[in-house]
Amino acid sequence: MKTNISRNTYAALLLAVLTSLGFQACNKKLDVPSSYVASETLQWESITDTRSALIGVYGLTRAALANNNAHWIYGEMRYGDFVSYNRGDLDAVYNSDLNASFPLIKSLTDWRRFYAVINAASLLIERAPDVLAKDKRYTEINMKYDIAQARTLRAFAYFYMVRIWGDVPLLTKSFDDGQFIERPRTDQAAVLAFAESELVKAAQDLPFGYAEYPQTYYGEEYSRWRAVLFTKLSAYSILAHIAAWQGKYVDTDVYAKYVLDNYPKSALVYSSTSNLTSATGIFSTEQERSQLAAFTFTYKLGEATSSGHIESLTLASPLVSRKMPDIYVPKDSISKIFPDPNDTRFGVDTISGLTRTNYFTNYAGEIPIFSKIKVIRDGVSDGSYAIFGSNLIFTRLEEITLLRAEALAALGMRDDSMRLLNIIRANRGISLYNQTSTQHIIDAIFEERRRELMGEGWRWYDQIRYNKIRQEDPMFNKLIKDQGILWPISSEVLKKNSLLVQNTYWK
Amino acid sequence: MIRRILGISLVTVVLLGASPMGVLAYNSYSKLRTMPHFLQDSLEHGEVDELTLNFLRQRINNATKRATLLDTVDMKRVTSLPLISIPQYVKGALAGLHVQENTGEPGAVSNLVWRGLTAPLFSNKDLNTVQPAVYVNGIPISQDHAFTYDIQKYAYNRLGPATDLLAGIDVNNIESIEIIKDPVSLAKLGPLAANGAIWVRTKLAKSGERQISVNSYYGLVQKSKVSPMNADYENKFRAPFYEKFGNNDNQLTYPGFLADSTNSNYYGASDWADLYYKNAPIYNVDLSITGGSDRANFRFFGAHAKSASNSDDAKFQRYNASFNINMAPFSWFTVSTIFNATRIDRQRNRSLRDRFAETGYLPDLSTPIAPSKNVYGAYLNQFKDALDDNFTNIIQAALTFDFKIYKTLNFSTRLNVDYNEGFRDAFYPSTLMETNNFVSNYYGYNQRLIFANNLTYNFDIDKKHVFNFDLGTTYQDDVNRFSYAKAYDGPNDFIKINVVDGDSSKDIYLMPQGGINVYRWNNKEQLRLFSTFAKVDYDYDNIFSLNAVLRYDGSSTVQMDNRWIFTPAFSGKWNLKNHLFADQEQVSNLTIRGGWARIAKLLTSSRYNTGPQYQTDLGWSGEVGMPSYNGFAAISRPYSNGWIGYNISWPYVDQTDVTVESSFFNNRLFANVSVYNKSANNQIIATPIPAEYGYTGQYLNGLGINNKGLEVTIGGQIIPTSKAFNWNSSINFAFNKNSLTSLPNGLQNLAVNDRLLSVGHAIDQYWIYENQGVYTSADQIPVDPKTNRVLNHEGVAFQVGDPIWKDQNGDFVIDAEDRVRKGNSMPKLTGSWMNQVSYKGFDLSAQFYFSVGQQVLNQRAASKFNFINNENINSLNSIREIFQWQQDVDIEKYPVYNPWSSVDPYRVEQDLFLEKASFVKLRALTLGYELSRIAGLKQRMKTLRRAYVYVSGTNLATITNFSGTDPELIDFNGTYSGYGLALAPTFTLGVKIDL
Repeated sequence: MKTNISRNTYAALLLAVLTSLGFQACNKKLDVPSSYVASETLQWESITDTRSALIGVYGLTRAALANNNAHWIYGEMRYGDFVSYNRGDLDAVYNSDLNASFPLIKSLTDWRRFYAVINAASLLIERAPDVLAKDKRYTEINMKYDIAQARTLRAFAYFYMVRIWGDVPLLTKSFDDGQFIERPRTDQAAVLAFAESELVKAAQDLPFGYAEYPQTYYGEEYSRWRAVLFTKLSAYSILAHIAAWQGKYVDTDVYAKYVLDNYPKSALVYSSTSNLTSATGIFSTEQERSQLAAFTFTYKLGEATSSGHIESLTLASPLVSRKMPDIYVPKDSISKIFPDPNDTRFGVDTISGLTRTNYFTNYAGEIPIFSKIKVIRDGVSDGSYAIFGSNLIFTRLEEITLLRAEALAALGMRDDSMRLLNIIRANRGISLYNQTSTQHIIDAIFEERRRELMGEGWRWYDQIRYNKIRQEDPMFNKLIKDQGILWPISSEVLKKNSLLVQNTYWK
Repeated sequence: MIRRILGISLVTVVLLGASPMGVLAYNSYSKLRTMPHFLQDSLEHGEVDELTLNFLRQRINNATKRATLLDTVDMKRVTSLPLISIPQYVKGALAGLHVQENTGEPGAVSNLVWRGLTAPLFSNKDLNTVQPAVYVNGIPISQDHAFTYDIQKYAYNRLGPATDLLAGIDVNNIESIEIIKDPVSLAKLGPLAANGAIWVRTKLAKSGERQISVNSYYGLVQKSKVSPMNADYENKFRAPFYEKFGNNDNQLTYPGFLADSTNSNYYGASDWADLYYKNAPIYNVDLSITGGSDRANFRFFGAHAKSASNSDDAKFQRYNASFNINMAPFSWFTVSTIFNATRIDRQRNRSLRDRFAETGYLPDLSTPIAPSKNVYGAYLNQFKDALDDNFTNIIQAALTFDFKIYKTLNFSTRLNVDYNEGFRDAFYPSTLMETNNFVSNYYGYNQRLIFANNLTYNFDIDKKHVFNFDLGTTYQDDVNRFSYAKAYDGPNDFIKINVVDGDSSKDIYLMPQGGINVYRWNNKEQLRLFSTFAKVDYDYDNIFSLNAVLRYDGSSTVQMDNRWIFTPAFSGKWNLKNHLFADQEQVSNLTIRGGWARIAKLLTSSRYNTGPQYQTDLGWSGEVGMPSYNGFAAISRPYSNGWIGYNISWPYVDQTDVTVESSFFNNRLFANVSVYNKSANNQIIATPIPAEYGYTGQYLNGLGINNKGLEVTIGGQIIPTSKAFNWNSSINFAFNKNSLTSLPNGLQNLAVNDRLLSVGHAIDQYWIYENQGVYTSADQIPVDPKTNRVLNHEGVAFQVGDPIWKDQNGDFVIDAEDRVRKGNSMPKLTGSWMNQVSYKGFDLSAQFYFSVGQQVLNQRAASKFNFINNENINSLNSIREIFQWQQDVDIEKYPVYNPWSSVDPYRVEQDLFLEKASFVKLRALTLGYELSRIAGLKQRMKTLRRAYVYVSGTNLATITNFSGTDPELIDFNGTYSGYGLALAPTFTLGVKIDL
């Protein structure tokens, strides 16, 4: 019987353990917070949350533009100077065969990534005041900057989409409630009007530069934010472009003038040709002093990538180990585009036959390599590990200068326009445009844009603006009239929202 | 002789590093030799009476119980085959359990599906959601978590060693493998068993005379015979395309390696196969010792196995040590411990695809490796500087305390641990990576702790009415974790690891040296599950019995409001033999069982319990793991993953099973038939929402999938055992049919990747165009009479040389609307036919394995014909592997289209590439002889109980219409890529000795 007693003691003890695992205790045990996603209750509590959210909006914008090299394929490929070496999908874009069923085109006709930017920006605008209430370190001025940047990025995304798809649904809130109601397309004029009003509001709040000594921004100093965040001048630059896109050149002139009058406040300078084309020039993180709006892929911070750069399309041997580039500018186009032998970007000396080839490598070969932008890692010459750290520059000082020249020319102010055009021409060593030049000034400006901005994602939009002004190319006139300048909307996107209709040209 | 073999194995065991156990085993062995009568003497008759003794024996020899008696694998057959993983052991052996082994690479992950898919399989990420749980001695084996795929650009293999965690148990250590079909038994196991349960018991300690078993085999995996080709063949293959459709520009970009017919590397002898395919040796040796007294017994098992593929030098080595001790300190208290330890070392294939999928960095792929032996040999030489180490360590431990409180009241408490860790260190020198070397390190572990308590009470009203009650609680804690780092372009090819500064006082502490950028990722997932259940069994006179399980489960992965789920299960059994045919001799057994159970299906991601959430989402299609912007961490809604809201609740599986078990004529003939109906409901799937909110979709409950099926196993002794010559034969087959019963929000159709899920249709169907030939002249191409527009493919007008795809809806546009659901990736009928013939000491067994009704999309053929697109876009599709220099595509089968056409004529999503893949295989053949029958041998070696020698062959013959190499080497979603290593014929010679 002795054993029985101890047996019962053991049993009682264990039963006690068993029952002590009550449901209440268990429920607590079962609350395991995820270690890789943050719950609703953890966000919008402190200053780090707003910083992460703000950085998130920038990162999402970068992703939208870098995905499948979208920025360059939208901007450079349709009837562009670049042609595809042998990629069928790029050929299709070149020929505006945009219903072709290549995965690349399917992805480029999907606007979801731009709406992710818009949603994230709206959410930041709505929720930043919560943090202001909760975290004393988060100041009014900090919030003002954050919201203004979010507004700018959201307006930028809308502008970018309108250029590609025309009418797009206009969502001005995040609607962060899990509802997801279908919304129809909004007239592009209304979308751009919203973008414009947002940018005007934001421009008032944005600074010329962040964390100017002795201030800091999110605890970081000036150098960390330099040419990374959107400034007052970024907002004005985008405003100038929104106006130009709609042909409102009076407004373009006003906005661009503001940029050109104030650029020293953001410590910007015009770039020399060597800074433009050096691997450690304005496209690298070493020298970025002419950028107005750009996105960074800093190698030292582990953000250099193999895709999302013009280099991933254009570079090849001998700069990187790939044999042939995906796209290149044919030799006869090059000689046509750069007629001036003194052009420091590219020129052929008619007497000696020598070439100035800052923009191109291997010009003597059959396929010249477009090497204006070639930031391998942080700008090294060793192409064995080809990831690229180049900035995606949306606009820079030279671009806005030429845009204002365009606006002035369109408004008939030829002399002022000429002065601006000649700033760029002088910098690039080519003969100045003068009163006696027989060439139409609009033509001269757009040819200059073509040379200066080659490979920066402008060519397609420039052609549209050019042809809207000059209306001399019947093919383009028809394309503009039929809305063929827009891209089709992906069937995926259409399927998910029954209120959307395809662009008529692509039906 | 025998003594020598034994000696060698013992030395091997000691050398394995499991030295304490090896020494222990050796000591036990010598003790046995010196004190042969120790065991008999040790019975302490004086202390306990005979009844208690039997009771004790019964208790300590019964650590894990078998779940059922039916549906077990014939271990005798399996143990004489050179198999290394549980999926291989059970393949074809259990009706209704389908095993997909998509490569002959030993140790690679296989897919197990029981009674059909409970969720759609779109990619390898989804495998875990359909797999049944595998219990080893009652411990559910944890699986690698799918979360590494979040940072992987390509999902061909999981990050890390990607070793099948079910390849850790040596077949000779297994007592039994069974599939649990009974809904109530599954319900008792709970949410882990929602997809079914495979119940494995290892051999355990036994009291009594010490027994030693030694098993060993040696074998060769046979080299594959292929028809190699060189550039001349490829050139001729391409000629008609260029002749018919090529223009001058196309000629200019003709690949250099094909253009130069004087290049002897490409145009010379194609003898790469001599280096790629080789006869590969395999072996296994294991030893077990069992023994003990009535108070305590033990078993030790040690094994070493090597397996190999005949292709690409892929190898697998495994070391096992297993230990089991049972003790009964008091007659009412027993302790049992089981401990298994395994180490697996795997050498994986060297395909370019797998390598570049990991590096995520594509060099120039325009020129393939030449088919010449010299060139390929020089290429292989570069691997001498490479590093590709894949290690997996697995430990399972179970500690059980069992208390007999009263005669009818029992309490047991169990602590189960399953821990496995995987390492992978890869280094590719600059010579292999276009002057840019690559290093990566992976470490990941899965840890499972289970604490379970059971109280059982047996209550007999009288002899006829018997009740059993079982109350239990289980607490399970799973942690999955990995860390991964990769870096490119290190300073040289001699330093093959990521060197960091180890001085914590310096600023550069843990910073990589040599100016290289190291990319790091890590992730952790934790799951806790708490369950309580009550089970009641009632039995009436061995005629009727009723069982019920009521359980309550709470999981940390379900949101607070829906965290707990109540699920019931019921079953009944009617023993017709005992009831109606008790006197009829010819009926040996006739039982009908029927049951229904609802079992909650476990969610394994903490995303679901978080609800609306934030995460880093900075990547794009080329760069999935982008960590920061300007060096700052970023956070946003999970736009790329999809929205997860509140009200996510438990998915669950309802299953009904009716089984008839019968045997006749003194068990000479048996037949078991089961029908089932299984519905997996309320499962979560991403559903589309308007893109204007930025999300790819939103996760909702509401996916429902039904599986119905019939399973039959018939067998018997065709010539009974009483004769010198006897023949046993059995056949099992299973029909299965799945269909989608519901989608969230009442959706009827949902397109995911290249599949269309439609309510009322099967979930494993392909979604493809119907090919009706080729447009040979312009007037063949239809024109829409209303708009005068030519028939087009999503806007691209068809031209001469394009395929004719059927315009299903007649709108003169070929698009997704014209794709039809066709073909199934899962077989309709699977099974196997087993035969055993024996004559005197000889026996011969054969297994035929068949799988009928599945179709395959031949991706390999599509990519061979799609050479223009594949080669022009530098992507993983442009890779041409060395083994693709063979005639592995039936090129006569496919028409010549214009490969430059924008409609992508050789897209795989068309029925041109759909083909039947039914097959019958002679999977295994074994001939053995029992040596102990030789007169005189037994007399010389008194302790010899068994000495069996055998030869066996596996993968011997295949009958199929499939045009590729092997209809089994198919990806889990049904595409044939040609990447699976051969399931090659393997011959072994083995011996089994029991002393």
